[in-house]
Amino acid sequence: MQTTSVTTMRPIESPMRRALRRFRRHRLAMFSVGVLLVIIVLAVGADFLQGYPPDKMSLGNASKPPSAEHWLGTDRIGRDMWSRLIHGGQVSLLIGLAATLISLSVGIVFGALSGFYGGWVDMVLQRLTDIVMAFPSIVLMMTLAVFTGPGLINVIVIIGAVSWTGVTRLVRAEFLAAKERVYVEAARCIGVDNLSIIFKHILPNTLAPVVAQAAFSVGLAILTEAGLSFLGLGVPLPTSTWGNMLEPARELQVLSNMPWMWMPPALLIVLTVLCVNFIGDGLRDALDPRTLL
Amino acid sequence: MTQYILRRLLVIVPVLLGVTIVVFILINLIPGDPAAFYVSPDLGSNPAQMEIVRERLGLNQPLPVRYVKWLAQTLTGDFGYRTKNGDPVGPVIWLRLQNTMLLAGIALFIGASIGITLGVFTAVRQYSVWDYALTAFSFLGIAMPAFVVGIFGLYVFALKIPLFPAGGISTIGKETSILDTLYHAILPAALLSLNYLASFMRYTRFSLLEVLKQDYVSNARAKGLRENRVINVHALRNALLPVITAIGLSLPSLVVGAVFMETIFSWPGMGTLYLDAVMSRDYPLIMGMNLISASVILLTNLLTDITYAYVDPRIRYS
Repeated sequence: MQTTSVTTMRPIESPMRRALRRFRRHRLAMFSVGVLLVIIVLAVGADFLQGYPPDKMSLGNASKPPSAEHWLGTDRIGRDMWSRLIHGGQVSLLIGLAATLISLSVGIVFGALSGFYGGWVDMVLQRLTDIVMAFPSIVLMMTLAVFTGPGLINVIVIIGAVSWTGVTRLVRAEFLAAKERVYVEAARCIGVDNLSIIFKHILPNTLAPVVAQAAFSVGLAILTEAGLSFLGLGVPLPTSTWGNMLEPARELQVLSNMPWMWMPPALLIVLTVLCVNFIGDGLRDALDPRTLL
Repeated sequence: MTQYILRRLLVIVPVLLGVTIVVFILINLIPGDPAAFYVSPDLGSNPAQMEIVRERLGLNQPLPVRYVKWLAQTLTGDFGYRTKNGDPVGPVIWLRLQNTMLLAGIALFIGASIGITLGVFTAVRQYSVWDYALTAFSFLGIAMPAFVVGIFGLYVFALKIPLFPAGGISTIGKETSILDTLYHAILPAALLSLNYLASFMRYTRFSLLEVLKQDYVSNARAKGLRENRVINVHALRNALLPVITAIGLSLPSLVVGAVFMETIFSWPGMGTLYLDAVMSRDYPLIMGMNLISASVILLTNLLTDITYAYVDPRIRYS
C-alpha cells in the first residue's frame, strides 16, 4: 500500500537541486552567468586570443586609436590594448576570487566562534570587528598598502584583511539562531565535540546567506582592486589589471583625447560587477525558501 | 533617552581606544628608523648623534610608554607636525575636512532628496515602464564605482560639453566666492551622489511597498483620504525609517567615494590630502587622518542611532 503512494509522489528533491532549479528561473541571473562566462573565457584564454604579448612595447606605434591590427588601439608606449585588457581580466578576476576566499574564511571563523561561544570570545571578536569597521575601508587599505608596498599578493591580502567584517556579522547572527536548535542539542547528547558541531553541523545550515554574500564580495573585491590600482597603490606595472589600466585617465590629456585607453577597462569593470551582483541576487532568492520563484 | 545616549557613548570609548592602538601599532610596524629622518646623511650621521636624536624625540622609550604619551598629546588636539613640510597636522586636516564635508554634504543632499523622490515615484507605479527603467538605472548606479562615474562624468560634462570646470575648487586669478566654489563643487558632488541616489531609491521603493500593504494604509484610503495624502503623509513617514539608517550607514562609503572624486577633480579635500600623505609617507599626517576619519564615522553611527530612536517612538531603549 505504502509503496504505491510513494511512487505516485514527486521524487524528493535535494536542497542543492531545488536551489539550482530555482536559480535557473532567475532570467537576469542566468543571463549574467552567460556574460560572465564569456569574460572568464576571454581572460583565461588570453594567451591564445591575442596577436601581441601584453607587455610588448612598440614606441613607433604609441597612442594609436583602434585599427584592424590593434582592435582597441595602443597605449602610450605602444602596447596592444586588447591584449592588455584580456590579460588584465585574468588578474582582476583572480584578485576578486582570492581576496574573497580570505575574507570569507576569516569572516566565517570569527563569526562562528563569536556566535557559538558567546561570552568573552564574542566580546573580543565583536569589538575587533567594530574597530575595523570604524575606518573607512579605503583609508585602512591605503595605510596597509604603505606598510606592505605594492604587489599582487599584497593587494589580495590587504583587500581580504579589511573586508571580512560583513561576513562575520552575518555568520554570527546565523549561529546565534542555530545553536538553540534541536539538532545541535542532539549532536551534543551523542557527545560530538564543539568544533565538529560548529563546522560539520551548524555551518552547512548557515551557508545559504553566506553564498549570496560571497558573490557580492567578489564584485566588491574587483572594484576595490581597481580603485587601489587607479590610485597607484595596487598592482604595479608591467602586470596589467583593469584598475591600473585606468590610471592614465587621471591625466586630462589621455582622458580627453584617447578614450580608447580607458573606456574599455572602465566598461568591463562595470559589466563584470553588474553580472556578479545579479548572480548574487539570483543565489539569494534561489536559496531563500521564503522567496517565491 | 539621555541614558541611552550615555550608554552608547560608553560603548564607543573602548572602540575608539582600540582604533588608536591599531593606528599606533601599524605605524610602528613600518620598517625604518624615524630618527634617521632628522639626521642628514650628508653630514655623516654617526651612532652617537642618532642616539641623541632618539633621546630627544623620546624614541628610546618602550612602546607602551610612547603610546600613552602620544595618546595624551593627541587628546589635547595636538597631532604633531607633517614630516613633509612641517605644517601642523591638526589645522591642515581641519581645513581639508571642511572642503570634503562641503562636497559630501552636497552629494548626500542630492542623493537623499532625489533618491527618496524617485523611490516614492517608482513605488506608486510598481511594474510600470517607469518602475522598470528606473530600477535598471539603480542597478547600474550601484554597480558603478566612484572612479568610473568620475572619469566618465569629467569626460562628458567638463571636457566634451564644457558646462563645468574640469577640477579645482576655485577659478585661478579670481576672488574666491561661495558661488564660484559651488560652481566647482556641483559636478563632482552630483557624480558622487549617483551611487547613493540609486541605493536610497531602492530602499525607499522597497520600504514604501511594504508599508503600503499595512492595514492602516487601507484604513486611510477607506476613510476617503486622497491618494496623495495617504502616501505622502501616512505611509511615507513610516517608510522613511529604514532609509534614515541607510543614509547614516552610507557615510563610510561616502568617504571612500570622495577619495576618488577628489583625486579625479583635484578637489583639495581629505582624499587628496590622504593620497599625498600616503605617497610621501608622511606618518604624523597618516596617523592623524586615520584617527579623525574613524572618530567621525563612529560619531555619525551614534547620531544615526539617536535620530532613529528619536523619530521612531516604537523604539524604547531602557
